[in-house]
Amino acid sequence: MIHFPKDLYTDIRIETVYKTMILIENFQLKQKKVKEEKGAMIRIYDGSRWYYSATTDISALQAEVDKLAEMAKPNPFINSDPIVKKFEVNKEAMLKYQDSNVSKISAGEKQSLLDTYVPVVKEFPQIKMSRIYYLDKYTEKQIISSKGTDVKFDSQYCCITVRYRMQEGDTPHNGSRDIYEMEFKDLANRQDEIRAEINKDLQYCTKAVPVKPGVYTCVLSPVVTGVFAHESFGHKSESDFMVGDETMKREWQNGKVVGSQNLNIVDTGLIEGAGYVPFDDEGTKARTNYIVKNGVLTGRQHSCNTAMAIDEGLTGNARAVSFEYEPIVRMTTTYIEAGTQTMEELVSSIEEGIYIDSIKHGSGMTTFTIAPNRAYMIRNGRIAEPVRISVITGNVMKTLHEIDGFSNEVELFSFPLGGCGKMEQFPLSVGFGGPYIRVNGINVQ
Amino acid sequence: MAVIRELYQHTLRETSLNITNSAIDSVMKKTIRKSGCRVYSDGFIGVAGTFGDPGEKTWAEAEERLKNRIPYAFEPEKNKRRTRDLRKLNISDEEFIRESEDLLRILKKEHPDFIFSHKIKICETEISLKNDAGLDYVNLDKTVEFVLLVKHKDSVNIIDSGLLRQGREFEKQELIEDARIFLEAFKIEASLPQDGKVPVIIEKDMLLSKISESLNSEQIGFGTSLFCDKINKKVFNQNLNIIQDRTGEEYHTPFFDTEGITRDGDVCYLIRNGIIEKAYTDKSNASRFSMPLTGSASGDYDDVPSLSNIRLSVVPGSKTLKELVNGVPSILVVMASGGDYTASGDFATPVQMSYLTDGERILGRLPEFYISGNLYDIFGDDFIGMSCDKPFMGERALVVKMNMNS
Repeated sequence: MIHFPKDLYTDIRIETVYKTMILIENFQLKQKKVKEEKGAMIRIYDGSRWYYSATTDISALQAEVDKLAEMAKPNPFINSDPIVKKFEVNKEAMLKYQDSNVSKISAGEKQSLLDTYVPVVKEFPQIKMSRIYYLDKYTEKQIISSKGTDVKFDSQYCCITVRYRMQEGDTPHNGSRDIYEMEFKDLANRQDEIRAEINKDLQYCTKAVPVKPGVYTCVLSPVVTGVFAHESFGHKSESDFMVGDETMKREWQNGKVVGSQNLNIVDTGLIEGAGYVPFDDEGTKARTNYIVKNGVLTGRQHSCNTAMAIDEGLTGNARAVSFEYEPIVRMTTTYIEAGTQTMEELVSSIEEGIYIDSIKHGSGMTTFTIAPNRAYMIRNGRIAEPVRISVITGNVMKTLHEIDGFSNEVELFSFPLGGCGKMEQFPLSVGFGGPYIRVNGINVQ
Repeated sequence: MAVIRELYQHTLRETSLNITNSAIDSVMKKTIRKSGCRVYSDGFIGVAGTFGDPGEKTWAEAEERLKNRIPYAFEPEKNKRRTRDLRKLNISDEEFIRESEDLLRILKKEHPDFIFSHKIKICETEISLKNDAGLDYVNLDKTVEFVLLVKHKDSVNIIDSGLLRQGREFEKQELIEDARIFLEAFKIEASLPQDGKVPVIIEKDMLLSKISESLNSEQIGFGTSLFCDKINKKVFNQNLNIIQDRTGEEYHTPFFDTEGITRDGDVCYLIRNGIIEKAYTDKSNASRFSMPLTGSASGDYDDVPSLSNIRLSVVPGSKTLKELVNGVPSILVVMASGGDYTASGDFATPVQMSYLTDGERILGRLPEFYISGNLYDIFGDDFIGMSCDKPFMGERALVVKMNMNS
C-alpha cells in the first residue's frame, strides 16, 4: 500500500515481464534465456513540472516516491490542475492470458517446438546463414494513481521467427518469416509458411536486377501498406508536436482534407497483437480512434498532457517502451481500412509500375521512406521481373491524395523483433496493416 | 576444466530533462543496474541475468543452465586488470537544471522565431567484466548530451532542424554558438548545387552500415559477404582507414568486448590505406574460420557473447574540413532519414534537412533532395576524407562525393 505524497499528483506503473528467447544459430543452440524482470516508473506532478524515477527496487517503492516528492513543490490546488482533472480514473483487472500464460510452459517444450522448424531451413542449400528463434513475452502491468486509478492487465505473444541469408550468384539476400501468435498451441505445424517464404526469396534473389530510378505507380502489399500508414500519417497524428505551437494547431485542424476520399486510417489499442494496449501507460482505457475518415482529418493520438493542451479527448496513446521510460504519445495498432477491389484489379490498369511485396524498414516525417526487401516491376497489368530498390519515398501530404485503389481485405501484422522508434524509445511493439493499395507518383531510387 | 564464474555488469545513472515548447517540463532520474552471471564448465556456458546485483539464486540459475549444453569452447580471459575512468564532469543535479534553464532562456531570447524541444541529459555508465580467474575490467564514462529538436514557429514540419552535441563537459557556450551559426543560416534559403556529384558532409554510420555488414567474419566465412573475395585487396581509396575504435574518442564504449578481449591502443584496423585487412571476429568465429581475433563480441547483459554488426570509425586524416572542401560548395546533411543500401551496395536516401557550406561558414538552408551512390565509389574515388577538426556540433566531418538530384 503506497502512501501518496500530499498536494502532489502521483502515479506508479509496475511492470512484470516474463520472457523466453531460444536461438538456434546456424543449426546450433546459441541462446536459451528465460527471465522475469520487474521494474517501476514513478511520476510526480506539482502543477508546473513532472518528476520521474525508474527503479528496479520494487520493495522500496515508498522510499523512492518520497525521495522524488522532495524535488517537487507541494501544490494544495493540484486536484484542480487541468492535466490532473483530465486523467481518467479506472479501476479494473483485465487479465486475459491467465489460462494460456506462456510462462507456465517449460523451456524444454518450447525448444522441442523450435526444433521442428530446423529441418525446413536445412532443405535449402542456398541458405548460408540462419537464425531460428522461439520468442515469447508475458507482461503484467499495474497502474495506480493518487487520483484513484488502479488497473491491472496483461498481454502476451509467442512466435517462431526465422532469419536467413542466402546466396545465389554474386549478391547475398536477407529473408525472414515470423509466425506470431497469442497462444503457444497455435505455433505448431506451420512449416509450410516458412518454406513458401524461402522459395519466394530464392526466386527473387536469383533474378532481381537494379531498378531504373524514377517516379512510378506502386502497388503496396498489406504489410507495406501498414508500414506506409504508420510512417506516412501515423507519426503525423502524434499530437505532442502540436503542444504550444499555434502554426501546427492551425495546420492540423480536424476537418482538413488530407487524402483521397476513400482513405480511412484507424488507430486502436483494442486489437490483440503487438499493439494491444487495453490501458495506456497513464491508465487511460483503449478505444478506436479514426485519424482519417473519408480522406478528412478526424482525430489524433493523445497523452493526457497533449489532450489537455489541445483541448481534445483522451485516446489511450500514452506509451513507454518499458518501465525505464516515461510515457509519450505513440501509436498502438494503426491500419488503413479496406476498399472494394481485388489485388488483381489494382494491378491490371498499370502499364508500367512497381509492386512492393516486403520491406526492410521505413521512416516518416514530411517525407516518408520505405526500404523494400522484395519488389517487382508491373508491366502491362501483370507482375513481372524482380527488381532491387534502395528506397521508395514521397511527400506525405501529397502521397495520401495519390492513393486511388484499396483491395477488399485487411491483413494485420505484428513484428516480434524490432518495432517503432521515436527518439530514444525503441523498439515499441506496435501493430499495423491494411489492404493492398495503389499509389501514384512514388519516387523510386 | 574447473568451473569459472564471470560477472558482466552494466550500470546506468541518468538525469534527463525533457524539453517541451522551449522549457523544461520534466526531470527524469534513473539508476538501472543489469547483471549477467556466466558460468563456464567443460566447454559449455550457462548464463542468467537479473536487475541489480546478483545473489546466489542468479548464480545457481546460471549453473543450472549449463544443462542446456550451449557450447563455449574457449577459456575465459584470466589475470588481467584495468580500470579506465573517462569521467570529467562534476555537476550536481540542481546545477545541471539551473544551467539548462539558463541555456534555454538564452536560446529563446536569441532565437525567438524557433521552438526547442526534446532532451538534455547526463548519462553515467559503468561497464565491468570480472571473473574468479583474475579478470577485472571496469570502464567508466559520463557525458552530457544535448538533443534539441528545432522548429521554426511558422513551419508546418514536425521538425525543421536539430542542435546535437555530446561531450564530457557541459558545453553550454558551444551549443549557444552552434545555435547562432545554424539558426541564422536556417533563415537564408540557399540554392542547391547543380545536379550531379557534389561533396556531401554526412553522418558516418549511415554510410558505413554496408561495410560493417560486409566485414562481419561470419558472413565472410559463410561466403555471403560482398567482401568474400576482397580480403587483402585494395578496393577503396588509398586514404581510407576504417577501425573498430574503443578509445576515449567514443562515448560509453568499453575498452573490452563482451568476452574480455582488448586490442593494443584500444584500436583495431580493419581497412588500412584502402586495403581490406581483416574481418571482425569474436572468439567463436575467429576459431571457426581461422581469422585474427579482433575483440568484437557483443550482446545483451545476459546473452552468451556473440557476434553482430559493429560500429565502425573512419580514421581522421590531416586536413581540416575547410581544406578537404577546398572552397567547393558542399552539402552538410543534418537529417537524412530512411535511406538504405541494396544488397549489391547501391545507396540512396532523401535528405530532409541540410545546409550549404564552404567548409568554414554555413551559407544557408537547402530544400529537400536525394543523394545516392555505390559503396565502392563512395569510399573509393569519391572519398574525400575525414576531417582532423570538429568544425560543427563537436563532430569530425566525413566528406564524400555523392550523386545529388532534386
